[in-house]
Amino acid sequence: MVNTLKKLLFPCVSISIVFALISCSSTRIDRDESTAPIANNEGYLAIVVDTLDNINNIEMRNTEDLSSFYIGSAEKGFTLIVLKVEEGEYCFKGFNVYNLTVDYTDSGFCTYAEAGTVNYFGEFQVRDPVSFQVQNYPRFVYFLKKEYPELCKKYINESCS
Amino acid sequence: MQKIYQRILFLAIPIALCSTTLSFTVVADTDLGERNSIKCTLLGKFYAYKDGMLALREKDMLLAFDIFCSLALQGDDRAQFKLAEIVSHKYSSSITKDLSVAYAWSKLANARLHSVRKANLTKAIFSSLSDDEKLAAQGVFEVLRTTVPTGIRIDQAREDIDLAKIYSEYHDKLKNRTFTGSRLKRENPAGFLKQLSVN
Repeated sequence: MVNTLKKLLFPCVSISIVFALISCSSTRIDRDESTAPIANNEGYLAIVVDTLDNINNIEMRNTEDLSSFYIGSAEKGFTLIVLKVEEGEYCFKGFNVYNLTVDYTDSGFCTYAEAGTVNYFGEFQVRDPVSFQVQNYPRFVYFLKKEYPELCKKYINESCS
Repeated sequence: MQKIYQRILFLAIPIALCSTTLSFTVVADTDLGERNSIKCTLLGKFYAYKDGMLALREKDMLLAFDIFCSLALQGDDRAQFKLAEIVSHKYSSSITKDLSVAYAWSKLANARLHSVRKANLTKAIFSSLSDDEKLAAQGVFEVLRTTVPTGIRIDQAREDIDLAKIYSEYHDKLKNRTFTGSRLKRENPAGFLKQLSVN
């Protein structure tokens, strides 16, 4: 009996961990997913990345549960990244460029994402040696209208239609 | 004589609006049995928008009001919107309701960075005002528009960085890396150049 329980323990724990990770994860969404309903405690976090080189493994951190997660890559030029997240504070933690890892753990760029709305994080200008975070709302709205027209119409204003 | 009265009236209205705009009466919870009067002012300590949201989550309305006031005066449009919600009694009735002021903050929040929820709140508040209140609300908005910035996000304290120093260090680093990519070039640049010239 004890042996059976022991055998069952590992799969049960593994499955529960996987479910916990899936339920807590913050995901990058594409256009089709932008029309799906969101939970009461969820909102969108939008970041415009402006980079001179392709960057990948962009890492974010949730400062409330201290979890980190990757949101993919951004190609050279401007990229709008929209994430579906739970309400809370999120920081831009770092990324990889060529074979280098840039880490902003101590002085990351953070913002608070509210539920039920599109939260504009800012425009992250990746430069060597200093990266900046600037506010360029018109450019954000331009990309949102182009790439996520449903979100733009629902949360920004009527000029998106 | 009539002109003098008109001028006095012209000056008196903005002054009266200025003095009433940024002062709200806050009524403490009835359990305390006290009434405190506080003004919407800049706080000495740094607070981020997150701090206001956490206070709101904890239902500490007085602290949330203080933080959002301070951030709103510094130009955080999200705080201006939250302040409008608080003053219009969305969360609690512990703060005195003032729809004219709520309208002004909400409209200011939506002035640069537009969003549907800001526009909806502004419309909803405006439609619930009487004609006199609408006039007063427009006056309050005009005062705010000319004295308070908007469209700024205050999420963390900023530290001044010395860009000149950073770029100087960066260029020094590049100079030292003139010969890279090959150990031969890096360790014996003179020999490498000599070899090139022979070839």
